[in-house]
Amino acid sequence: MEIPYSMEELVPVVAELAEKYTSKESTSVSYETAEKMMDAAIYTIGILYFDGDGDKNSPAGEKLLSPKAAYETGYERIVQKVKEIQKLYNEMILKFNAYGNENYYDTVTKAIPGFFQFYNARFSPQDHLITMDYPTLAPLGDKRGITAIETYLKYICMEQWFLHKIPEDYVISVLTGFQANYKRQFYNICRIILRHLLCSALIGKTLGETAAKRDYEDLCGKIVSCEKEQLENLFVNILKSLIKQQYEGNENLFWYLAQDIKDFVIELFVAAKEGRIERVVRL
Amino acid sequence: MNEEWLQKISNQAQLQKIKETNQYTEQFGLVLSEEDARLLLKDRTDSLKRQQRVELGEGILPKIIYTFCDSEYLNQDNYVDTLGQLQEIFFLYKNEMHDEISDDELLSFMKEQFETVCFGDVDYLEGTCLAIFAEAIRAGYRGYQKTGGKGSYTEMDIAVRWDKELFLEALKDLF
Repeated sequence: MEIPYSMEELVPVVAELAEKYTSKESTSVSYETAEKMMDAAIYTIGILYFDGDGDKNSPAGEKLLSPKAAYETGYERIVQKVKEIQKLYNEMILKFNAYGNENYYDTVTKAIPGFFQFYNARFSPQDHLITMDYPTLAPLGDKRGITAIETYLKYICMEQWFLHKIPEDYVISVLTGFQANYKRQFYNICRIILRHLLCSALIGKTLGETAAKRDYEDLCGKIVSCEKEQLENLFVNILKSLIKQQYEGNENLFWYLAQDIKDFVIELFVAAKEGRIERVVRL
Repeated sequence: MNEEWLQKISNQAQLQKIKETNQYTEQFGLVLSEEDARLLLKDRTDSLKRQQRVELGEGILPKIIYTFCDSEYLNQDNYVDTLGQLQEIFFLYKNEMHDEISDDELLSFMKEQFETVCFGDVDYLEGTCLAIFAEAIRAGYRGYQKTGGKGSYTEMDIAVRWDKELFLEALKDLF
């Protein structure tokens, strides 16, 4: 993402930022610090010109702000974003359920608050500080700083919405059935439930009924009888139907959950070949 | 990252500021010609590049001049060279101390040691006093913050500055 200012134009902004960084107690800084300040300036102005998905904004119509004005406006926007995301987090955490998975729990209840505690919007807005160990279905790409956290939190919120519609003990039984020690694992637990729902719908199995060997054989049969793209389309249609019926047709949720389908199909094909379907999905 | 913009921060006209210091330093018999000032600014650019630092605003050189101009170890003959050396080791030790120390604190320390322990020897200042001080700061020493950099070296000086036995021997020889 390129902002409409050259590095030379940003030098006065960076110099002022570095001065603040040293509290005016130092007339020089290391290259490393200066580069960090430049990165901070570029990131802050970038917030103004690009939204979280990398699409172009136009902060003041067609008129270009001065570098200093662009930086200050970008900074205000970052501060505002932090408040909005904190509010979103505070609402989400009241009903957050990790279903016993330790990594999910630790990431959301400990790591994310750590971000809010230590995030420095002025001198390192580009650092998101935490490693976000719990993997989401959609990648964060090259997002950094507050935009990375914003996106990550929105993914978590969508997962929680998805999972809350399903009885808690049912979720836990599927997870336990998939892997007895799922609580100590580092995969995305929403994926396990999603795959369970998609495959159950594919073979017409009633939810809640204990899966028999025949169910896995049926599933295997369905997989080997079609092309990958066909199977992807089948799952997409099942998911669309599910989202329409249970989740108000929410397009964002559909998009998020659909990110798993391609990988899922590949894994199913490999597992079907090896006769190990139950390692990929719990019916 | 492209280093050109890093140089641009530092390459600002400071010649006038350096020449203005003469108004104060001439009372100590120290004056910089335009050529001297340009040479020092070039030294500054080279030092900054060597030490991988950038300067903001008017830079440290005027402060170094005002801090050291009343030194008993500076004269017109060694003025420019000494300023150049002090500037170099200033940037070196800002790095060595991981920027934990402010400009004023470091200058206070340098001046105090230059005038006392070092007897005007810049090499000794660089190789001994500052090296030991930097090691202490990297280890977490922050005592200098209370005194602004003054009086810190006595706590860590490894050289025996006054020896009672030696003194009594010398006294005996005298009489």
